[in-house]
Amino acid sequence: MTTTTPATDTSATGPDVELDILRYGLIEVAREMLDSLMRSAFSPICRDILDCTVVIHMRTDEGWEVAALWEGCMQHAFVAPHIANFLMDDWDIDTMQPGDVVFTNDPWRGSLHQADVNLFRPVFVNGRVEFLLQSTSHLVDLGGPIPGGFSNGAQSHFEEQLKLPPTLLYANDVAVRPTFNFLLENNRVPHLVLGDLRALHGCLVVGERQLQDLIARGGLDDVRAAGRYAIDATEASMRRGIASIPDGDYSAEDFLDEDGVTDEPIPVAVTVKVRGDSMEIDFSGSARQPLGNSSTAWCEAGRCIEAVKLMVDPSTPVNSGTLKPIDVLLPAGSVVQTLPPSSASSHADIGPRVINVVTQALGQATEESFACDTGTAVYIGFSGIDTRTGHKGTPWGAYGLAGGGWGGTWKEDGVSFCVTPIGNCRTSVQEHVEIESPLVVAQHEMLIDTAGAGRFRGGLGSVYTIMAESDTLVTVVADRLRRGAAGANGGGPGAPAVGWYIAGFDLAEHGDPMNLRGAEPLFGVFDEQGRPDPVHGEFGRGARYTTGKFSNLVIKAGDAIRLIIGGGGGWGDPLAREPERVRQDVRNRLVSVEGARLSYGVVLANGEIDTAATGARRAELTAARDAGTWEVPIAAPLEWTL
Amino acid sequence: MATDRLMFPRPQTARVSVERTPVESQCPSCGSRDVARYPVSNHLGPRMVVKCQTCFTRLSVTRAEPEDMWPAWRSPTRDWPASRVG
Repeated sequence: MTTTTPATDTSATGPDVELDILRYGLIEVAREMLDSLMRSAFSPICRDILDCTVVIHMRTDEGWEVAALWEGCMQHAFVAPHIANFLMDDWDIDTMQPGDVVFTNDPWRGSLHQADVNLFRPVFVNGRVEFLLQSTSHLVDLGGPIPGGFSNGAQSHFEEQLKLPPTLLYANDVAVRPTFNFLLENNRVPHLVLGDLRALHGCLVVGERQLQDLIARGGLDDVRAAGRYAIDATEASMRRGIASIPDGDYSAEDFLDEDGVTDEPIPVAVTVKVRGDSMEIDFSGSARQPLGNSSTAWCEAGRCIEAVKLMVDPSTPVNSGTLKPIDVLLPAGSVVQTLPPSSASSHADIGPRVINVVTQALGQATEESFACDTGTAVYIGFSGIDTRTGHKGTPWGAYGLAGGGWGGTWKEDGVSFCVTPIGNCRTSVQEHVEIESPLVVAQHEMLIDTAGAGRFRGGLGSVYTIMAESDTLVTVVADRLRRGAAGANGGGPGAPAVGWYIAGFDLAEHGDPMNLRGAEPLFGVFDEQGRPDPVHGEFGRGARYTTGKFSNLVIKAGDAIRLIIGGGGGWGDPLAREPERVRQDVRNRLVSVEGARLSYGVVLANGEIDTAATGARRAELTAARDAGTWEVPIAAPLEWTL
Repeated sequence: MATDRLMFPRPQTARVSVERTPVESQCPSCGSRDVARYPVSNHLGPRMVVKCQTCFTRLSVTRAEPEDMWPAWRSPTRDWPASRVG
């Protein structure tokens, strides 16, 4: 059996079968860890939404490198390598003992935000720590003034959730009582958090057992060689993908709407530099850290690489090899590397924006590009005290991810009704939500005319309406309220986000999301009659908020909140989209007849294409575009009822 | 001092950038003299690189010196002896 690390380029000789088997063995250990975690977690954010991931770090001469992982949520995979190294820079490895588990959720040590906690367990072989197993998940609550984190309005981390530097959570598999007491006594839903912490610990125990078994069968040297083989193979694949991009400097700029404290747009600038099979992603020129809670401490150093991975090497397993060809430059004190004591708990919009802007930069380099995804998760957090019969007095917490659309690509329409690339999480299991929380999910479905128009349109966004059965405290984190996700190569933007409050919700009366009767605007761009209109409307007109980032909204029992999340940007000229595909979209109620005429220049009569009228309409729009009097409209539902 | 890198003022300028400091050196790969030293994040975390700006050959990759302030924040107990519980 080969025990040496194979050459990086295996294309000539093919993979070593033994090492490949062990490489998959490592991945299988990670898969079993995640299975264990999701099956034993208590809270819906871990158990159903899968905002969790598990990782196997391998000790190397340089530090700790990820050999294998299993995602619940993609962004965790890209930030885990740094968290492990920050942790082990702080923790004396010589004090570690079998069965120890170290906890951290510090954003300045790589955590996405305080709500995402990370547990690490050393794996000893012959008395030496050879591997470090990590389990990570979003927890429903960790104290602070705003339930569930995402502390809108906070200007310092002192106003946010508990933040722990590396701290012993288990010693020799015995719970460290002061640490548990601290976490549980400062918590609104201690029963859920205890269940999740035990699940996070349990999956590490499962992982160690499986990994030790793999080592017993394969031998330490070969398992380590397989880990190195996995990293080298992924690195080689990433480098091949990067080398396919022409050398050059590619710059782009996008922005966050504002920070929830001031109304100033926050620019996010990037220059992606490609030299052979190496890359730099430089965020120089980005905004300084905002006053409000819209920046992150460190995680963009890894998360931005998701854009490169998706574009040049979508198929290989993620590990440290994914990061190796790329240096990331984060300006200190910027929106992508905020400095303490800044707030750092709200990562859900800067994350997508960082990926969006890298996508836009790389889109200049290659025809095989894609347009921006929705760029905001429209995160919604719910909490309160249950008043339902049989649940009275029970504290509860739940999350909603509205789901948006991915951008159109050079070869196909974007994926509809899914969460942004920062996390390929699932939506909640609505039946679980309704059993465990005093909420009724009245609708969660794709919404017509929300996708950016293009030769390949964006994926569609959705409408999400939730009714409260008990008084419910709500936090919303939404961006891209004025203009939706940018298109690419002449494609149009997706629809921006909109929100309403509906008092006395009645499904029969309020079930049609296009019917605005009884719906009070919360945020968005509206015309004089109150219709969402990103083209001619005014931001915040008649709305309760002039931001999409707010907390402590109370939905009274019997009332509802309705959110629209836009779709992805379109790719390519929508006037070049095959008319038959537009007709199919209209037939499937993804695009309206009027939307087809306005954005695609396709004229339909009785469900059929009017070829002559379509030709004339497209010629008219092309001429108008050439004259500078027409551009592809921002996507927006059109058929409102007042 | 142990606690001198825990809190920082907000930058004065509206936008901020990473500085690349030119280094008197020659790239061993392409011969370019456009070489610079600056802070990056690599696959392990924060590092200082000396790097050819023409072909991106890394002439060195090291951990930051204290004066590099990279990253700016630092554990106040970084150099203290560790107990059993950290």
